[in-house]
Amino acid sequence: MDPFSDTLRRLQEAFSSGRTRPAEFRAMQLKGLRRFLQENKQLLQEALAQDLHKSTFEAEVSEIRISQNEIDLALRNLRSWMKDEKVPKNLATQLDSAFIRKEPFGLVLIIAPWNYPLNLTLVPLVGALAAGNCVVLKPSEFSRSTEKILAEVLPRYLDQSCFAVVLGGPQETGQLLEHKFDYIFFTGNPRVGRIVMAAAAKHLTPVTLELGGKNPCYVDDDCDPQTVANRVAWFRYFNSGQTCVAPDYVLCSPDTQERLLPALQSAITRFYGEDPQSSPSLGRIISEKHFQRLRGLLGCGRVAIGGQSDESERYIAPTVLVDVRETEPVMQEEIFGPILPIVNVRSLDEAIDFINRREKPLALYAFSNSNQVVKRVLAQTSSGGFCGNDGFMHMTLASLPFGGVGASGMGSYHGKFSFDTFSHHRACLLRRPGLEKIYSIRYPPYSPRNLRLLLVAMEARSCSCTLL
Amino acid sequence: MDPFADTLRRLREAFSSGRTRPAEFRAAQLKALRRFLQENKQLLQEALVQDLHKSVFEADLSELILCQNEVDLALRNLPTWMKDEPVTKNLLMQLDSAFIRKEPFGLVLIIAPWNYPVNLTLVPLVGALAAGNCVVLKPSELSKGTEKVLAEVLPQYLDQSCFAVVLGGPQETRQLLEHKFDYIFFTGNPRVGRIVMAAAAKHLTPVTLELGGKNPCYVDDDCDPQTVANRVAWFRYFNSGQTCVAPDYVLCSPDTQERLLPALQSAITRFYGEDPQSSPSLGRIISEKHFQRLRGLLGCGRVAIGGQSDESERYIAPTVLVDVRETEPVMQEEIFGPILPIVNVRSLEEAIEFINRREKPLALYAFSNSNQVVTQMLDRTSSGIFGGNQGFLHLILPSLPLGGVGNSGMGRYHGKFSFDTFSHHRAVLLAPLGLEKLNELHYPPYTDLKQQMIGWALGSHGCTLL
Repeated sequence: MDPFSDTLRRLQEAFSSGRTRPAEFRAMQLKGLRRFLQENKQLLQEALAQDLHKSTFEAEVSEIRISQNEIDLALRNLRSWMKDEKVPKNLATQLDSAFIRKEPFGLVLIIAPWNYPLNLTLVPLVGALAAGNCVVLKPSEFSRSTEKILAEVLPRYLDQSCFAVVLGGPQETGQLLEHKFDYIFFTGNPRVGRIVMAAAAKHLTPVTLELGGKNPCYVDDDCDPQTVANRVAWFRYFNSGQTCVAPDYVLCSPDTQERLLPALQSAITRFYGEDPQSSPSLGRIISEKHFQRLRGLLGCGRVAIGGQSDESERYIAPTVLVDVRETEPVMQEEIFGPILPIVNVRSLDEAIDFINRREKPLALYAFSNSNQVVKRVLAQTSSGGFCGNDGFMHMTLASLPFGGVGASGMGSYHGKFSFDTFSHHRACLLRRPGLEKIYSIRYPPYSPRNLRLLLVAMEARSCSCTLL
Repeated sequence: MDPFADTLRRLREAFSSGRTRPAEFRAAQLKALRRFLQENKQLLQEALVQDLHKSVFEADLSELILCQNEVDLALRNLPTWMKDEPVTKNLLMQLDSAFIRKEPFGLVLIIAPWNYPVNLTLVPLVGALAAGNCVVLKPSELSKGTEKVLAEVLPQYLDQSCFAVVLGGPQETRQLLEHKFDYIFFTGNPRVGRIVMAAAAKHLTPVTLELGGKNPCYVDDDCDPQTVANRVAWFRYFNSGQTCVAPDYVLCSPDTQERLLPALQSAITRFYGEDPQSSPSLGRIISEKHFQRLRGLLGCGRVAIGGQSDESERYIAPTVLVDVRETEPVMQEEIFGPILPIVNVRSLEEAIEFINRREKPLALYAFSNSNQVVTQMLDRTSSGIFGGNQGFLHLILPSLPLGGVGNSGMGRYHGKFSFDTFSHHRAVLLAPLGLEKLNELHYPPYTDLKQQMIGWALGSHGCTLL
């Protein structure tokens, strides 16, 4: 029995009917989404607290506010984004209408993860709805409380003939992926990313994959250790480290490590107190499985700061590891927890080599007082995004595209990039039916003379293919 | 034995060395490509005659000059395209530097087809080189004459540490696809498109797939039949129909069909003479296998015009079929030959429904004197590209992107779109290390006051104090 066929057929029919095309309909959906956030703020905060022990501050800043901003941006710009985009014409096409039309793909599938279960579900949804698609949302089954609200409350705010939430685990998701979608937007890990892309390949479905990686954080000798420690600590331990763009490990010289360690301890104590486990500002690990995984990583290298854990709360202390070897698990997999290994390098060159030997990460960070150093790291590496002297701020600016490269993903979104991601860009040329005499020069029987005339017309920069 | 491992490793090392990054290197490659086209014009024309009986006119127009123009466009615009693209900042990132940097992906694989073997190999190559990648080119083994020139002459012009041509058939291509590439650009049919994307999925390699489909051509009652017939015939029989954006079938009313048929005959006779087989303006079918396939299609419906064929020359006459049923092979597969079926519909509405019941095509055409009719067709269907009263859009206007949707493909290229396709767009934010006091506002311990201020800041100005 296929539990999804009916839902998908219903949505496909709604799309074919054209209901989602008019700007008014799309604006209404976005306003519905906005009301959903406004009217259920407390409910959502409670769910996030339940799922991840997320403080209201973090929930507000990284989930609710970001989603609201994206909705507002889309509502403000919808009409201008929807406009046909005229393209430069040449002399020959002066009488023609030449433009790129943005069209919805049709039925979009959004598969969301559990770490920012609101943000990473709603922000793609904003783009898909603004672009005029029908949407199937598959929230993560790990963030159960948020999943419940998305499944039971959110649909009431949207037109349910064009929107559906489906629930389930890996097996149901696999079943879902056997169906044909017109676009698939996936946020998660690279292993599942491969599965999603392989499934999409069967139907020639285009995809955006927001994956992960080990995001390097290079700390130069020339820096103020406390400032760097504050920033790195905040971005690492935010959401208890469960952030795809968090700094995953630090690369620095042994000297800088010596200066960083006390500064990191100082930052951690200042942020979370002497007993971080009792700080309301610190999150918890999503599940038993991930908790065990992270507890295992605590055995790598040597614990310099933290290292405590409490299974009953799925609590892992803000931890810094030193003396780690590249072959240890903590340097092999994406950490996705409040553990920060420091790896020593003897120079900037060595750091760059180290980074380039590995998979391209989603984010890359470089801290230095020297502009030159930061620019060198930027110029000699590749990553989804890059931030000099700060953490994942780049993803809060909607005018920057957010996406990976290589093993960290493909495609991008946020702001207008979301709208463009969920739209097919259709090239259009509309010509008047007359003027046939002029065009005759291109027809057979081909003659060298006609060819010369045509080529002259084409060679003129402004006058390509006049007589075509 | 893996015949490709060494070549790929060499190219990867060259890319890691950074050789392809500077604008000067890329410009040198593009200039060399330009010289290749200029110095081997006759050689290429002869190869195209050999492969497809392509006339000099068609070869120049749709292959050589088109490539020249793309190379020239890239050379002219390279510095601009390579520039970091600043983005709008919010109030409090004013001291920061925020921009999008275009970076090459690394090792790019371009798999090209046989129907426009120069164009569909070199135009993607222009984009890949301009964007700073190392490139592996896999030309089609079916267009043997052109394949030879691309394999033996082209590499002499380019830096061979960063560029290689690999040869072979389906088996070799599959072997090649087991390797990891940083981008794959494929032009071909949907069936192989799926195989390419599945192979790419194993390595999380992004792809552009330029596929095909049955491109509908709606002809309204309100039109001048001769004008329409001229245009449709030219686009259909150009390169003997072996064009992914050619009109594949016509949709019109029985009345319009009555007026179109003599007009089509007239156009065909005017273009190719009484005996099209002896016209130098008409191409030939690429291979025995495709010839047989097309000859089979001649049995569908009823031949209204043409229908002749000659195996010894792989010649198929410019043909129009009528009374075809949707279930017949000619309406099931992409024709890719000089055969034009006409399918009757009783209204625009029926035509739109017919089109929307089928896979999204690469191109869609509507011919009508009425702007409204053209607009309706545009608004209520989807396709890679759309032409109103016109075909061969990208030939006419290079600033238009060429790409499919749904079954006809994903991604697009030509001009700047090529450069952007072969570049990773990296979001960059450079902040100063100072001003730490400002950051204090968002550090834990989180308090209600901090939250209120952050809420205010984020609401009106975007992430002000983060």
